[in-house]
Amino acid sequence: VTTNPADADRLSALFEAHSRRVYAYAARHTDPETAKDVVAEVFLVAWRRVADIPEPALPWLLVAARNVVSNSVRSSLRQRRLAVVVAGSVHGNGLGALMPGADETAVERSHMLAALDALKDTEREALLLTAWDGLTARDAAVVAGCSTRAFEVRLSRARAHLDRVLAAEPTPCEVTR
Amino acid sequence: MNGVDRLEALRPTKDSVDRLWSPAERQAVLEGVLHPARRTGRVRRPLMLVGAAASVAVAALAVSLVLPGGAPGGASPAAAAALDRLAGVAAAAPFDTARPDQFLHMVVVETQTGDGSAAENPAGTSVRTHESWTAADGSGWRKDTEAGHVLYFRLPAGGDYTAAPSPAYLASLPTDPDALRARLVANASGSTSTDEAVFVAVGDMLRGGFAPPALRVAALEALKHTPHVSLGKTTVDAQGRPVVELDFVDQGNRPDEVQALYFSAETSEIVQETTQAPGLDYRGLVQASGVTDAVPADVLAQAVAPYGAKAASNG
Repeated sequence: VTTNPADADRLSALFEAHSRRVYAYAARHTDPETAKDVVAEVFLVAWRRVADIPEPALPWLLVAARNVVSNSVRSSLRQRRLAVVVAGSVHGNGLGALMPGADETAVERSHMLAALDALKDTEREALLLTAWDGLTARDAAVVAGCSTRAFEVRLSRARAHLDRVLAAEPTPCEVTR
Repeated sequence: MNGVDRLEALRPTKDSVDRLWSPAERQAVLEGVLHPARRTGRVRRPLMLVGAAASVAVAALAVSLVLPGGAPGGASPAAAAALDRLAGVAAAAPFDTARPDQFLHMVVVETQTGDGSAAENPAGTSVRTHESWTAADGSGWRKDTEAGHVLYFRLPAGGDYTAAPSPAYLASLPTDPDALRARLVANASGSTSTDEAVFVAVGDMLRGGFAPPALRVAALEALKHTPHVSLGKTTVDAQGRPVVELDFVDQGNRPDEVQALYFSAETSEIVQETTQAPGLDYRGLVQASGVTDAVPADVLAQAVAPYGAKAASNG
């Protein structure tokens, strides 16, 4: 592990700038509690490889987060399944909890969660990587693990799909599970 | 306003994130990363399985909430016969037992293609090696190697952090088959069904050669009474060792997913595990297992206790 003060400063700056985004990414792929562990592991890796982190750093950090989440499949040796069950639905993972929580947006949140739940996983992720994480298509493609062209196609379809689902908005009671 | 505009309006804010992850918690994480010796606070929960089965998890949730604890029936006749043969092997098999000052040492090489969450664009194949040293109380050390990067961890007891089953855990289990199955069912958590929980628990306890013969026999008997278990076709593992493959396939809870345990035909211990599902091909191979007197110096010197976990003591 590096002990260079400049490296420590850089890691601190990266943490200040991006840790909430990494947390938000992790929370929507796991749950709000597990996400804390994911962020810690991401920045532990970042600390060990701080010299390798490019600018902009967010895509690199989100790829690391994706790998931490995926690696948990391997490192846990299939021992625990409950979190998968919980995390598999947008109603069960941290997605809804991340949204701003004013009462007046409750119905809109409910509509949006139902709409996102209706999308394919890859479509939902494409939308969130751009609309929430603020990534360009090129950077988002890196995080999603596909080509930029494939991502752009996916994103276009996702936008259209989201519009169609929201156009047929059900009432809140209809989306309650 | 189109859908994306509406989605952007619901983008997480600093405040909404801080509600879930307080500034104090954030600061503690940064301190823990930069200054491992100062790590304090909550014990890290083991990272849960996420991603691999995400594509089937919604269906799993729906089913698991209505299924009773286990379905009638048991393993297929062919699987039951194979389990009987394995039980005969287990009864006479040697096993590795550690003194309180020793460690269970295990090396597991995991190969995975895809993560199950993006079947149309699966990730590349990755290979990861877990080498762990488990103390009698379940605490231990782990060395993870992937793509040339090595991470060392000091691990607390009680967290399922190491590949080998904790000796304390093995000693706590009954060796009567019915009592063992009842214990596993009663303590089932983190699975989509109690049947799957039993299958996974047997995998955990028989991985490597650390379970005493009586416990192995009881575990194999418990599998005989577990639905969705069938005999697979594989007869040698990735290292060429003769094996008996037993599969768990539950189309109701995990459609198109095959979880498999590969028992050594010579010792009955589990030497390989696989999971195949849409977008996911996983294999965990027990490359070595045994008892050792000490944890290597490089591991002791470089290991960190992640996320405030109470560090394991040095034996």
